[in-house]
Amino acid sequence: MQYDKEIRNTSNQPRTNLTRLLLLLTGILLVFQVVASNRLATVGMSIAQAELDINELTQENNDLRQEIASASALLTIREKAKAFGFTKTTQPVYYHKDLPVALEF
Amino acid sequence: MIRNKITLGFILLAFLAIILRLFYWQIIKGSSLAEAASDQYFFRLTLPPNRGEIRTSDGSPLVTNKTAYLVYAEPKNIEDKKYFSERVSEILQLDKELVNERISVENLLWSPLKHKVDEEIKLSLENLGIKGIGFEREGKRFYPEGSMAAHLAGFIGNDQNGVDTGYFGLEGFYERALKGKSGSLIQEKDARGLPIILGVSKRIPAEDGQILELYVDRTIQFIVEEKLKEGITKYGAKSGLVAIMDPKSGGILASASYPNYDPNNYASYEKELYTNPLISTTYEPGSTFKTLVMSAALNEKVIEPKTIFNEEGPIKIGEYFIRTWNNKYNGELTMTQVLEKSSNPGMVFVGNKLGKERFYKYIEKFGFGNKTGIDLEGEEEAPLREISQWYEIDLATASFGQGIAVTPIQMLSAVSALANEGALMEPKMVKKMIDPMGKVLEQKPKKQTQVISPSTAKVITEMMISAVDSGDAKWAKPKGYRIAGKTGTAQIPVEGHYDATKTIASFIGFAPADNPKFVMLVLLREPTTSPWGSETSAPLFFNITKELFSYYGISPKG
Repeated sequence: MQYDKEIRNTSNQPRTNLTRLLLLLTGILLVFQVVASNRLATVGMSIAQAELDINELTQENNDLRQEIASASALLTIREKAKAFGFTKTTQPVYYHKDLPVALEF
Repeated sequence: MIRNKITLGFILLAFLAIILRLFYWQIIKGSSLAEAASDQYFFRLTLPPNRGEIRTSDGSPLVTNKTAYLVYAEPKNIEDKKYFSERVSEILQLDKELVNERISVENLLWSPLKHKVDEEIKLSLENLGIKGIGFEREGKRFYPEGSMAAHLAGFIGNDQNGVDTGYFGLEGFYERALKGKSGSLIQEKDARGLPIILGVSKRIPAEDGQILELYVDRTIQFIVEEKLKEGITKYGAKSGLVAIMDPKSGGILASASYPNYDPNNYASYEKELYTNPLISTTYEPGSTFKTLVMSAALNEKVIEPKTIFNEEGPIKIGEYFIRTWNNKYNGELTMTQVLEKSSNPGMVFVGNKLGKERFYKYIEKFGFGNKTGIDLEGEEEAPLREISQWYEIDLATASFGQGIAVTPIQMLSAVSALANEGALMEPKMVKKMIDPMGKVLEQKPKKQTQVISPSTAKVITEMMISAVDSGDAKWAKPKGYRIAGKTGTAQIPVEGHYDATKTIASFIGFAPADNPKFVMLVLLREPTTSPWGSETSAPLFFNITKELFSYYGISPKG
């Protein structure tokens, strides 16, 4: 009788270990699920922030391009040149020189 | 027993009612409720495209975009509505009552006040420090060179739906290419409005408009604008126009008209100024037309440069007399001298040699009577009268450029054919189109027809050089250069007759004559210092030509 009882107890042990293992795995996966979901939520925030940053930088670039366009307008350049004391060339001077024989063709 | 059955009946009825109600909400109203719900958990945004830039040949922006703002009011947050209306309407230059009306509507959360407000004005509003005002970024068209090339660029206005639309010039002609296509973004969001990474997400990016790169040379355009303004003041003209074309490609290098307007503030100018005189007005070309008639007669071999005409007096056509411009007669003239002296009787002789049919055929071949096809909005056709309606006097007057109406672009293109070995090119503004991906689409020069032979073109060029060197404008010509050209002084028709005091003074020419870099038309309307082209348009032409020679590094010979 005692022998039978021992045999019965021994035959249940592998099933108990498997159950415990499955429970442990489930617990670990649940923890991972919670952590992953939490990270997804914060990544959403990062994406929103990154998009805001991109938009801001794009706008800044556009603003700078507009400033460059205004600053390099010919009327602006002429006024600035006048302010620096530059004057218009009235008459270009052309120098003519005979070409060396080797270049005459 | 009966009570049990009645109770069961009521329970069944209740279930039926619930099922019917569920059917109503889930099936009949299901789609509208799902749509309403999706507004709560989906974030929808239209992604506006950037309108394409328009650049000159050196890549500088002639037309670009800048940041502007929509100013809106949040009536529920406004503390003092009276102060708000006063200060905001003053800064935005709006009617105070209008602002007051917009912020006084009950239960209104948001009310737009003004679109396309500049950064400086936005800062002024922010500095007020008042609550209930907000700003939303939007794009605005910007013309950094101001009124320079205004007629070529056109401007952006609102159509009847309030949508930004291009009008006139390049903005109008290339509206579809420039405006681009809006994109969209649909993103599933959480309770805080943040995007859910694994949620539903659909993004269609906006397609920006194409960039247009022009033939227009920014420096030449600047020179032309300055010189034209000076010329109009100096010669007391009512208005004026200068246009320059590359004869080999048909590319427009510069075009200025005065008076003009600033596309940044187009609404402050009269609507009549929006049309580009280069393509939308007609005029009688006068003696500049003689070069074309002469080239046609040479091409048909009915005359040669040395053919003699005896200019002994006015020519009688029906009841009319065709006289010289100064009523002086020079005796025997070669065809070259007919151009040098700008002899009207001489040109009547040439026209008669050509004959009505061939004359008409050539003016059609030169492109008159039809649109040139230039890529600018608003081109007029200037149709020719049917040949069956031409009488002897019409042939005579058309021979020296009166009694025929042309647009400046038609005249410029036609003379460009003389400078381009007789080949008529389609005039073009845009050299290249660049799509948002950077792919370049070149617009190849288009030859329309061979009007005269290359040998005839050479002959007429020499005759035009002679007309410049020996004609009335020779005093203004820069020394050491071969310039082909012709003056023109046309009387203005007023109510069926010509006004003796008012003229359109013009000069058309190309240089350097042996390998032309440019063809230029100068037109002054009603100059008051002198009515003659030789004393107004011609010196202005040569003045600009000197600058162009310097710019291109073309030195004089000898």
